[in-house]
Amino acid sequence: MEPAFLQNFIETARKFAKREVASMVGIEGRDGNLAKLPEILKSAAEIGLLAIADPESPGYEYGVWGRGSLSEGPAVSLAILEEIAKACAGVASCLHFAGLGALELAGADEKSRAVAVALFEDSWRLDNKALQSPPDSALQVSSQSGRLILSGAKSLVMSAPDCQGYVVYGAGQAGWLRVFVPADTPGLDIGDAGWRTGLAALKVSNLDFDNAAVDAEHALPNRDCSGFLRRLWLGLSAIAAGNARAALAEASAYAAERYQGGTKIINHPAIKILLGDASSRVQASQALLQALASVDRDDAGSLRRAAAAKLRISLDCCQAVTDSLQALGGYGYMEDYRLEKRLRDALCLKIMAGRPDDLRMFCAEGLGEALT
Amino acid sequence: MSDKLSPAKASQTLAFLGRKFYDTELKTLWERDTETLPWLLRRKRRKYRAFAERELAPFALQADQDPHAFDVKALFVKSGLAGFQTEMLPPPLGTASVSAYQYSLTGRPAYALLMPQALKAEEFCAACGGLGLMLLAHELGMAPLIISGSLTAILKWMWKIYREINSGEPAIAAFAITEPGAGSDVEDTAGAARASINCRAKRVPGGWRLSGRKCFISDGAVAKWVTLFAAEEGKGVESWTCYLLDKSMPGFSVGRSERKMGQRAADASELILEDVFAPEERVLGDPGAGWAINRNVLNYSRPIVGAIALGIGRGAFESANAFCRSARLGNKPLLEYQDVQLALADMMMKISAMRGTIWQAVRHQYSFQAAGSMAKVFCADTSWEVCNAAMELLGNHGFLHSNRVEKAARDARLAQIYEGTNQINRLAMFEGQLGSEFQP
Repeated sequence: MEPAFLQNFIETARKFAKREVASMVGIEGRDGNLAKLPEILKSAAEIGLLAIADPESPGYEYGVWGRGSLSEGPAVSLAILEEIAKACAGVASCLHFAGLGALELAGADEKSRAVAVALFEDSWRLDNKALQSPPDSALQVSSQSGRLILSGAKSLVMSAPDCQGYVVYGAGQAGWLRVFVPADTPGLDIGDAGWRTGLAALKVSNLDFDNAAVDAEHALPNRDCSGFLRRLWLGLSAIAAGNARAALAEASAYAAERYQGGTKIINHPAIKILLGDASSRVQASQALLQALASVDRDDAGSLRRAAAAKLRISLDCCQAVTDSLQALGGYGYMEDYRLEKRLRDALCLKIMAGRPDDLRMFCAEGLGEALT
Repeated sequence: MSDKLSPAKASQTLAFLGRKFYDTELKTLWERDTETLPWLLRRKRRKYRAFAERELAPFALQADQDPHAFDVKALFVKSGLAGFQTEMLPPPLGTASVSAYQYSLTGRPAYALLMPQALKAEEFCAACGGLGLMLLAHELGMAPLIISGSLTAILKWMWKIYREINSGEPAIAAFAITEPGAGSDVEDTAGAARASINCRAKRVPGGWRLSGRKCFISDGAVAKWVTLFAAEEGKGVESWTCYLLDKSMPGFSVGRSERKMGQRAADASELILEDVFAPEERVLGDPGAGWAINRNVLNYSRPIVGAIALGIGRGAFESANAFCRSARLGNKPLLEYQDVQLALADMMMKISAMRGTIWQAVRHQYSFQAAGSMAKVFCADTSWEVCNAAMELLGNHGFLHSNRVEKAARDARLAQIYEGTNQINRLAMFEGQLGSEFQP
């Protein structure tokens, strides 16, 4: 991909983040003025940053996880996510999950509705076995009189607020099945997950399927979840990196202005150590992201590398954010400077879409494969 | 594992004496640690725990989510009537046991002065870091009265405040040192020498006139009494004097209440003084003794901050443990997976290490700079690790407020900042031992 082509998206995302997103977050309140979120997402769709499964929409090709990412790789999506996350990781997450949903509809009859992907359940954890075939406890999909019947639950499904349906991964007779389920399907109960640490812009729902029935035509072409997972992890890594970059920049600016003991705090060894360490973590995360942004293969190795990147980047970036916050002392802990919001968001990014230990074990399974 | 090979069964193969030395009893670490304490402290620890489980834990989430809607004064009154807010001095000035002072004054082993405070901090904060801090900050506010060494102040004010609390009044005290332009400066010798002090005192006939602002003051908005430090006009921190003020004094007002990441149930407010008159009797110790009082208050309060962190970490561990017992993965509880067991064991080990550190720190006859700072820094950092591990263990469920571990993480983060950042406290450890360990 031409650097100028990529730079163009970065500039668009940067301007959008500064103009629309930063003003939302800058408003008083724990997570800014979330009432403005629908307007912001609408604007993101209009300028082509938000991907919608509608060929007429501006972001269809090169929005976050637009169809272009299938042929040209994740570089554009990751760059946009990182830029938006510098203003707000929650808004970036909305673009990320909306894009992942839209991309799941690729190859199917186009459905221009905003959708979310429902893969994870509480009853099983991701490992090699679960990737290949659904565990016994997975949500069941059966066929009955030309309709698909879904029974089971999906936990903590993440989406943009205007989610109108779900691409649900369930266990069919021959393995994993993907089914599009509109949000208003009878038998589908959507519950709000409740108050949480951060990424407040995201909608997080628990889905209960009590013999929810959809037409058989809602079955989507068979595809395993590895492409979705790879993009999910890479995108979250980019958001974590953008969030940490901004935290470091904000802490550095504060340290260059604030005095302690008669000298600017940036001159104190304790602050240099904190911010220097944060900087090394952010730089290493960016380097890792860039390395993966240029490679796009749907193979097992790429999936492991994405898992490793999510693990390493989310941990390092969370540490970089907490160190940046520490440089501000008491002010870092108050809502005013927004470092505490960045830390709350970083904590969420660290634990979502696979516990760190799950990712570690998943990476280790790859080592086993390599040996055999 | 074969049941016959379990420690409990295997121990039965030993002779009587062998069995005596092989402790396989099923008891929590909390219970085992409690049993190592003298009788009076064992009793206190169980009382603190029962109170925290009854009066704090059920309201922790509500008070965190909507702190302004929760009546913290009513909770303070309950704690006061239980005798938990007046444990700095023995009767007739408080509810502390005489045994505590027996050790502090004579060095004879009973138990150390700070031990009840450390036990209380752990129990209250295991239930809720915010409500715990709200209750504990009161004794921080009272500490300058004793640390000043002024017998007149102790007899007059401790007696008065004890009577107020004992009669069911929310006579909360707050400790006010931090200023908008001087946070770390007022916690560090090198910084203090060049600090830009905002709160000023001017000598006038019969007393002092005070003006300026203090910020981030725990319990600032709900306190009746405030021990506040101010420098004389044109002088630096060396002129700091400690005043016991009450908020009804003309010119004394409360500014903004901070919106914090965690410990949200505990108020942190700005205090504004506009020409407040403090009569001579409100000076604690001599004029100019404020810096020494402040530093020594921190020597005694920092181990308690460590205990707060310990409590918050323990709360996170208990919540994570409960989650892993009830949540199922596949056909068995999460608790039965080895990776989960490894994580829980690591958290338990860290909690035990924190408790060991705190109990060791408060065993000293008098607290001192390095001991206080080491306990505070170690526990604050370790508690943050434990809370993060708890969140990681719960995965996506870790960020839900209802599961409590994310609240614990937000609460724990403050312990690395207040009472001097952990960086300032490391320098304090060095300064404290300069001339001994770190002899030039």
